[in-house]
Amino acid sequence: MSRILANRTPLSRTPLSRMPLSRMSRGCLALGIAAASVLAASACGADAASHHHAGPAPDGAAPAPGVTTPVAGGTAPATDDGTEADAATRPAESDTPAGVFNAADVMFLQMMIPHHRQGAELAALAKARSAREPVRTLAAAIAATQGDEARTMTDWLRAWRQPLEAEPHAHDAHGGLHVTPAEEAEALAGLRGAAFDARFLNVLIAHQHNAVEMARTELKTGRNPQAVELARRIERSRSEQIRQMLAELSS
Amino acid sequence: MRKTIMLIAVALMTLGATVLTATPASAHGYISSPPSRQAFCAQGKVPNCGDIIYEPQSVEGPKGQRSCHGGVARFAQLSDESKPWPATSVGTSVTFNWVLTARHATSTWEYYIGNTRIALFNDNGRQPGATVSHNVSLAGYSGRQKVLAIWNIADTAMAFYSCVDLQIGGGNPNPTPTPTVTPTRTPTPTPTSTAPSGTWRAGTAYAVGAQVTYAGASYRCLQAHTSMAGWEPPNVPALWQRL
Repeated sequence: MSRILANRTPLSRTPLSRMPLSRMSRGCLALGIAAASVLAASACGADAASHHHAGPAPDGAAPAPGVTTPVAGGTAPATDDGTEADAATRPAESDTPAGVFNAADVMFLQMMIPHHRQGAELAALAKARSAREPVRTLAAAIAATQGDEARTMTDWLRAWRQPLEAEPHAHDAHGGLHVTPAEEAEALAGLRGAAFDARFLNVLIAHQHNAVEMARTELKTGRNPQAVELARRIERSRSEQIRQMLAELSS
Repeated sequence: MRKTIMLIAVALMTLGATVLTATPASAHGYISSPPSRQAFCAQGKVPNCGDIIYEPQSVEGPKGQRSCHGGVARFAQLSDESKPWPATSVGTSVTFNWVLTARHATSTWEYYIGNTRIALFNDNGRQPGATVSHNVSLAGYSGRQKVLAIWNIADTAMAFYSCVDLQIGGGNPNPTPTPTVTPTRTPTPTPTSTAPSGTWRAGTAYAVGAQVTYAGASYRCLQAHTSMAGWEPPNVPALWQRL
């Protein structure tokens, strides 16, 4: 499985982890698929891994079991429940001096970076193709801000020493990567004026709805204060962008 | 051994099912133009819509219903006929455009006026593109009509519901005109001005060179935009340069 699974997912604390993986994989194909889907889902967020399946731990007691890292200066993570089992299996990265984060934070950034880049690429199409000045203006601002945010998020993942991308299909249980297919960008590139605007706005509205959903997942499950604050700004700004684009469509 | 594997399998299946249902709804779709009821709600053009303003794409209910809210109780406002739903003026045909946030394999798209199905598009289980548009004839109808659109998913028992209010073939659909959406332009900023031109506000159109203050600091606009929550000057260096 992916590095993130091997290093960060608190397998030792879930009932699943007590099952012998080698035996499972020999079992049968369906079993393997089931295991893979569970693991993929776990990798996609601490919410799935901890809140719903962490066994006897009371919900909310430890939002990010096992995957928090000490804050700079060595302060013990507030979410650490201090059990010996946890201490023995804490991921190797726990000494990363880049603040507290959990698997949900990592997943959020890994999903958001390509989503942002693609949104910026879509938005850039409007400059030469849209017939409407408000659409061109909004799209240019979206392209600029999302380019910035993608760079910031990349810096965070590097500081945390996390992969910039998850394993292929690691996000399947979350409905896939939420990216708009490349062929759609190609189709848009060939359009001009009103035909472009109608299609462009519908694609970008959907794209930003997905950004809002990912941000809401991070708000519920994330741990890193900067990433959570970014999610809050993404939720607000994208909701407003959707409002403006819907208004453009009906004007 | 076999028994153990079966137990593990059952445990995993259960876990898997829980995980899948526990993940946030990946949502789905609604008609954006002519604006559906949820699209008007998401824009804030109809008051007191409830939860739907946050997720207009999520009106998902079992197939076979004939209501604007698809039987989803928390979206019941969509079926409240006492609300001032704006109607869009159209001719004898109309093109419905969908926003799709998840491209579910699709059996059919249905359009109803009252109990009459006025259009059916059969996708035979195909996955739709990033956008979907349908041209629907409104021949035989006039005046104000409510169209119920249904997106039937191929591989689940669910469908998505979206109602669009239309004024067919002329007439005044809305006693009071819907407010225009063009944001008001701020006065043209004077690039030579050294004094900040005011405190940053959401909902303002800022041109390149405009200056504002925010939280005690001054900023110059680098990229024209209409301001919004989440785009406060210190948070978007692509839009604002700190002075």
